[in-house]
Amino acid sequence: MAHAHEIVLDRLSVRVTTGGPRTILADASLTVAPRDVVAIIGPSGGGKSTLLKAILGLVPFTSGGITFRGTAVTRPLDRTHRRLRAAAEAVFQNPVAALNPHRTLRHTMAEPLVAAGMKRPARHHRVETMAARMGLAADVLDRRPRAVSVGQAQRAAIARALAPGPSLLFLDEPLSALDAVVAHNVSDLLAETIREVRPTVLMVSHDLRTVRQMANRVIVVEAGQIVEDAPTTRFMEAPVSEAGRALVASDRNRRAVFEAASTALEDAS
Amino acid sequence: MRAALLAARRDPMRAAAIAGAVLFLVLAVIGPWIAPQSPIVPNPSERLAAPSLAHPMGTDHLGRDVLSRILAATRLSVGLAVVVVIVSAVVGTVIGLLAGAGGRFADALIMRVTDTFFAFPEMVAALAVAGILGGGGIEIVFALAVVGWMRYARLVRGLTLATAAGEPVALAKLSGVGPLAIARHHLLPPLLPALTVLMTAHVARAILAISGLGFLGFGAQPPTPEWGTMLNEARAYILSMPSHAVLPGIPLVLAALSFNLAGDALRDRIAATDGPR
Amino acid sequence: MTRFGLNRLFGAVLVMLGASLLTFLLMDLAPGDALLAIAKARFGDTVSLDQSALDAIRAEAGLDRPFLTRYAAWLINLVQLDLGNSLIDGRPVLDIIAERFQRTAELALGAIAVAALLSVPLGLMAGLFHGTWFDSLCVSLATLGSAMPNYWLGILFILFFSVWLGVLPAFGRGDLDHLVLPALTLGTGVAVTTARLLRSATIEAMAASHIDAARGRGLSEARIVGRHAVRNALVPVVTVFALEIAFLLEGAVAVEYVFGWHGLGLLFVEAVDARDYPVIQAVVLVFAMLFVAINLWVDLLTFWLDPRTRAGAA
Repeated sequence: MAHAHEIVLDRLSVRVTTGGPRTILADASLTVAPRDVVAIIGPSGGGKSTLLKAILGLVPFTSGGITFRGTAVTRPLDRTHRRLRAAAEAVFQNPVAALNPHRTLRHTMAEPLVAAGMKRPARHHRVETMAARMGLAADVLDRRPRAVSVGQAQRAAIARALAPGPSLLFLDEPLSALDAVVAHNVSDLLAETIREVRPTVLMVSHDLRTVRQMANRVIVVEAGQIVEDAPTTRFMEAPVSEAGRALVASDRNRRAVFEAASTALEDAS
Repeated sequence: MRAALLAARRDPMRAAAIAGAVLFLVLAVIGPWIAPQSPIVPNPSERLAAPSLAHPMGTDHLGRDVLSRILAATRLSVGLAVVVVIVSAVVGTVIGLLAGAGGRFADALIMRVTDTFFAFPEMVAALAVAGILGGGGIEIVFALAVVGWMRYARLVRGLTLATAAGEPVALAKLSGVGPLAIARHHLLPPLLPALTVLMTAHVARAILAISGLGFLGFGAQPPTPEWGTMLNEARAYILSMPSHAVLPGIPLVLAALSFNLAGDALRDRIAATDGPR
Repeated sequence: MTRFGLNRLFGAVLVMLGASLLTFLLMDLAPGDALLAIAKARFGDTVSLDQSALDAIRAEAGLDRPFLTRYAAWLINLVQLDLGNSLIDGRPVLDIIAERFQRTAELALGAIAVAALLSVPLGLMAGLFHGTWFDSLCVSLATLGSAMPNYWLGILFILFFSVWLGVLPAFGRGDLDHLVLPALTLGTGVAVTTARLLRSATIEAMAASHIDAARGRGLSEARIVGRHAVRNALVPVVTVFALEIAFLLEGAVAVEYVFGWHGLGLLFVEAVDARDYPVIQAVVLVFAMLFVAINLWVDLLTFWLDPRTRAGAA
């Protein structure tokens, strides 16, 4: 059962024809080992999300291939691709768009468990456990997305994705819709929970703090191409690609400003 | 309850319309039971009698009490309309869901078929189907559902296209949720307000269509009481008993008016709650 | 424009083909009935028919051939304008339809005149005096009108004008005065929808920004109403009026029945009553083709009138 490689991408490409032919993702090759936590970073509009969505089958890839646990996906949504999808759960950027507005958080969180055929008492228990782990109070669970904060909704979306214990987890900028303090908090919870559940993670992010906290590998995607692929520690110390250097530099600046501000605040108080 | 009373004071016309619609629905159930005399058994000794205490609206050409017939007719004229609406809504919703969530090929095919059904004038097609099948209750429902499902299909398809392309459905599919559960939990709930409005207004049109069929002789068959059928029968003695050609039309118009206005009220209500998001 | 037009034309042709198939299918719903109807028309009601006689008719009418073959044969005849003969009097269906269509066209023209005379002034005035008692009155009347079945309205008109006042004939054909009541009945129904639309279009047009601009340029109120509001309000009305023609044809069925007006609608009722299948088929088809043609025309007209789509196409 255990394969050395969970997911292997072989020159995966996505081209679209609507609005003029364009290549959004060109020849992306990547090898992901089981329990890898891979961060995908890069400038916006560079194809990070498309890479994630092509692997998930939400955007059809037009050439190249995906190998999942030793079996090749030859066409989008073929049998192997469906097996990959069955092993995966995902969290999108904006919980307001991603959660069904007509269902309570509890129902939404239970949805994958129902689909997996889990019986009611066990399901209930799992939902409560996951909610508690993500710091969601019991009374929040019976509300609909519109009646909770964005932070609470996103924590529910994460709890929903992790509840069935998926072996693959896809995160598409899960913290970017949250304000700084909430993002900080959710990031900690997410990192902790991932360490417990231990799925293989592909995570698009622009927040290097989260990357440092969770990922063991970083890939940089720019203009539809993977321009860097390195272990996190090495990448943070010495990024090779131009885009990677820019990201790390701007992060250093931000941290410097942040630290200066904190010091100033402490001095003031 | 208090909220309802407050709303009624603000817009008495619409409150009356909703109350009227409810009243007609109740009459559709109890109408035949509260009719003082038999609406069907002829009474040859009292043909075309003028209004009296025993017959407040007089009697018809077979001596039957007109008031009783008008009351009993509610079951067919209004009750059958509700059945027509439910059947049309269910069929149209299923077809619309298939078009909206079944992929581009299914969508193109189904919408072509829908367009084709739309090509026939409603009354003409219903008349042909009902006329060929003969005018029983089931035949009337069939004929009017054949011409009535398309609006639902179009509405449901339009709303479903957006929902089915949304992230909640993508996530549900990823989690292995089956098509029926996706339809029930994701696709149907956002449809309900618009469906309710459409159904309420459709009841008004179905009432008019059923009595229209009856009037032309292809709806409810005598001696079954039905407003349109009664109006048609009354034409034969319009000179001696003009009131009979008027009376069954009054509840007919009131019922259609009530459901029309109730539909408008529901639509505005939903627009008001949906608007500022 | 041409690409849009061709697209629409292709769609309309497809729908017409589908409509013809459905019409043919309709008759196939009761094939036994079709057989009996032919037999009855030929031998009369009283003769009891044995199986061999029925089989002979079945073979002669081609009812024993497979469905698609019969449909293709029917369609080929249809394209050659051969709609078969009436089962009742044996005359070619096309002749009957042509004759009756003329009567319906007379009625429709009268109704359009009535509708225009009623809806244009009332709708415009209601829109211009938006919010006044006059406006409310018009809206209430329109609401009532949309719940009023036209055949009942016809009966009320007969009672009022013919029975009570005795000024107009209720039934039959002859002078122009025979046309007045049916046209009034049919036209009122059309007027309701048109007036309603004209009213809201006027309100919208009056509120539009370029009217403010015109006012700013110092144009008189009368000229604003004449030049801008009315023309803008007319664009949707023209298209809706075309659609109303379709509803008018449909409404003609009940109105012709009430007034004994020997048009297409009454022909249809008589044919359904007598199970004269070739005639039913032909009338349903004529109605459907008219509907599709009118819809196509409205689509093209709207496209052509709307400055946004015109700019987009150019």
